Amino acid sequence: MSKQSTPDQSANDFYSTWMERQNALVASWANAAQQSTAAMMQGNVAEAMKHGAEAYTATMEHQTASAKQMMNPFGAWFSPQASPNGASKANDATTFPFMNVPFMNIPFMNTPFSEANPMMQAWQNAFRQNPFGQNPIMQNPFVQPWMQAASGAVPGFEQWSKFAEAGASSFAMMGQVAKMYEQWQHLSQSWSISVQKMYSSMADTMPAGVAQDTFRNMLSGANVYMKLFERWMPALELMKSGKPLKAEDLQSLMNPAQYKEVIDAVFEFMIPEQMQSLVKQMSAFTQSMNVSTNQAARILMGQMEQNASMIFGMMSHNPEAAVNVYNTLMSSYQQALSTISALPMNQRQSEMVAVGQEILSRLGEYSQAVTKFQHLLYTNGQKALEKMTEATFAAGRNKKAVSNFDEVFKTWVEMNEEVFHDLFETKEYAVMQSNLAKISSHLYNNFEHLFEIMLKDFPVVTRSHVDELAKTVFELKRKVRDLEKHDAYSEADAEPTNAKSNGKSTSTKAPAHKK
Amino acid sequence: MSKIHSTEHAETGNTKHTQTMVLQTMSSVYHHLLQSLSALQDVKNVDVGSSEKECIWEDGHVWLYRFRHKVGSGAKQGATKSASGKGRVRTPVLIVYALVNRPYMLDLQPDRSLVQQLLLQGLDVYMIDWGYPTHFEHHLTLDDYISGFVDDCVSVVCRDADVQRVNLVGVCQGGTFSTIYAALFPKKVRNLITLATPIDFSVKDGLLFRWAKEMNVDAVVDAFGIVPAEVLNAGFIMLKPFARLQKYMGALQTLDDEERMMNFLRMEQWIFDSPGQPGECYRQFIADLYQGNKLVKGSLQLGRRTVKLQNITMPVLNVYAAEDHIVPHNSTKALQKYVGAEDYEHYEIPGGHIGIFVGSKAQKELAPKIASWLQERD
Repeated sequence: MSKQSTPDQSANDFYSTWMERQNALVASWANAAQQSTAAMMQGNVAEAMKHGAEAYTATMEHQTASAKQMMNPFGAWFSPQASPNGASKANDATTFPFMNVPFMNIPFMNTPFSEANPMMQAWQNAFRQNPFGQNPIMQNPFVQPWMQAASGAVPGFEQWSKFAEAGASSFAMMGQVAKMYEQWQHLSQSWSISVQKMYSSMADTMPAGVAQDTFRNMLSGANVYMKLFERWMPALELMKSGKPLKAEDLQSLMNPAQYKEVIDAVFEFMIPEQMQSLVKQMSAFTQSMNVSTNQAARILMGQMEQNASMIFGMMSHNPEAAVNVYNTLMSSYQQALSTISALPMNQRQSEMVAVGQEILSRLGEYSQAVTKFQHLLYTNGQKALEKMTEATFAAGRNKKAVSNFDEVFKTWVEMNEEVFHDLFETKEYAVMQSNLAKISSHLYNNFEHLFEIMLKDFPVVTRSHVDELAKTVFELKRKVRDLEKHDAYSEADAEPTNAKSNGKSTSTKAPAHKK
Repeated sequence: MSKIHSTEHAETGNTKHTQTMVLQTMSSVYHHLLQSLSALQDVKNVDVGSSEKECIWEDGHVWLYRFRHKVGSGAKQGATKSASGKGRVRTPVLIVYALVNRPYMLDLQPDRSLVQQLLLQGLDVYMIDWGYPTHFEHHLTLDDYISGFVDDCVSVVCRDADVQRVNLVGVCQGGTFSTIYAALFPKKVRNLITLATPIDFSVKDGLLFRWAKEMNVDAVVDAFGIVPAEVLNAGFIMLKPFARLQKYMGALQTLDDEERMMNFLRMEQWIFDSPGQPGECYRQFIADLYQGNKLVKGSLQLGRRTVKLQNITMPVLNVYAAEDHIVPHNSTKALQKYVGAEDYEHYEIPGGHIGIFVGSKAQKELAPKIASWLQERD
């Protein structure tokens, strides 16, 4: 078996590429940020722009190229051109160590779609005929917009169904059928995503508290369940019918790019949009505090926001979006530098620039650490998936095919818990997790520091004021307590009825009733 | 409620059928979500802490509660016999809970309440509630908690019950606190009971133990002062991240039963009702215990005193959970090696770290065990 022909290898290549890409991006970005900030401080606008533009351009080129490469990470392995002799490696049963059944073509789509087809019936039952119509929950104002939106999606499905019906009779080639299936998957996924968004918005309207949190957690669980279900259902159905599997079925199961979404959902990694929002909020706050007094700080924060937007935007694997971010960044970069060059810096501004630089550097460090962390989780997730696939197919070979998806889900949970427990027990994982917590804590400190500098001239209580006061209060309280204890112990010493063994500690005199 | 995954339609193995199955299942999942949403929107209040109690002392964010015996239970304060007909235990029980999460887990609802069961067994029950520390409490140390608050509460209970000593019952981290207290103030503790309590922190079979060893606690405490609950909860969630999803998918199918839904929500309420941790205390707990294992090494310093487990000569009952994934048995059972007590007993309860307090088996087993053990040593 060649090195490149195993699912393990392909998956690992995918995740490694992802990690390398992230790291290269972060390094390039951090370098650009350092150079531009340093140049800003020296007032060397031309130099700063030159270095900055070069660094950003290099970053963009790297990002765009690697994003394109990432678009079909598993494709090479499954592609007919992947093998030197022109045969698809997916057709080589030996490439799947857990499978000893040959891949064969199977009759696909042998009946046309019609208005009476079961899928449409299910859809209509679910939404058009509205099984919830008589249900009291329909009276609920939150349900109505959801139902309306869901009904609005029906024509889209109908249109697709007609296309599928027309196509099914003439598509004889497996590849075309697979393509259709892929289109259908996209459609169902889009629908699923839009429905989940609606649910999520509905949860927003619930009062904050345990019920809302529980609903959000259920939504999150359902999201993972459905993602897995979509991947596994075709293969399971084939197994149940006793028919052999083909390459596309396995591709759907093992595709690391798609499976990454599942792992992302399980661990609820902070998605780029959330990170951007966080940075924007931070930036907006800073700007509002400085708007009338400190233009340089505003510019710096604008830079930070843009830089952060860029780095987090890149994570979405979308080269077009990255180009847009780049253009925006360059535009604001030029604008910022031209403005700042006209302003003399005072000490506070210099301090802020220095802290800002530290934050930029820390963000880069954090991004690299979180990338490594995610990589570790992805590769272990893939490992668990392969174990589970192997077990499921082994059961199929032994005529013990699973009867429903809940069993698959349960097995998936158990195998993942096993694999991840092994990972979590390693020192490597513990160190990595600890490192992330450490960087986050330092970053938190940096932001606190930045705010302190900014708020110095305002009549606002800062963290260090509170710390100082808390320390004084604490020390006074401790003194009072010690005096109370001392008083109690002295009285206890004077009372012969109290037993005494360890000096002061035997007193049972109660402290003052403070209630 | 119906199963989420539909198994209708006999025809299998073709794409049309598969698509139908996927769509049906998606619809089913969303249908269940919709019903859950509707049910959850009606929940105005998740009531926890079912037993009647009164606050008899407080200091800042720390409260001391005395639980009331139910009228007509025959086990009121000062009675000579318990509701179960056994002789009453005169020495009151003071429960010391952990700083992590809230103590109402021991009194979640009437049929899942260790407190209620102990009251029914005729014990007088007091409990410390550590409250929600604010930024003004972040300087509190382990010594402030143990030699300060716990000692204050012991004194108040002694005065309230007119006794010289208490039966100290510590839960999890509260068990470690109780053990340290019993070592520092042995004359104030008649009997020591530890429940799911970490003692030997050098064990290798607990994830929290492994993670804590690598933790840069200084960075976290210096940054936050009060360590946010989210930091701790993130760690707890990572203990079993996938099983958590299964839990919510399971709940999705049961929320049409109001009683089951409320039971589920009470546990959820407790799980995520997490106070922040006072930084200095947290720093010492992680550095001296998880990382330094100083309790069993005999080098733990509280104020000017060194904690010597050999000083624990009162009877000890050490209860542990058979399937505890948070505090491994090895850590708990190590207590026997280090205490000076001759009257020492391990006791295993089926269930996990939380299950031993709220599980149905535990309800029948734990309180009677504690009561009979204390009665023999009153």
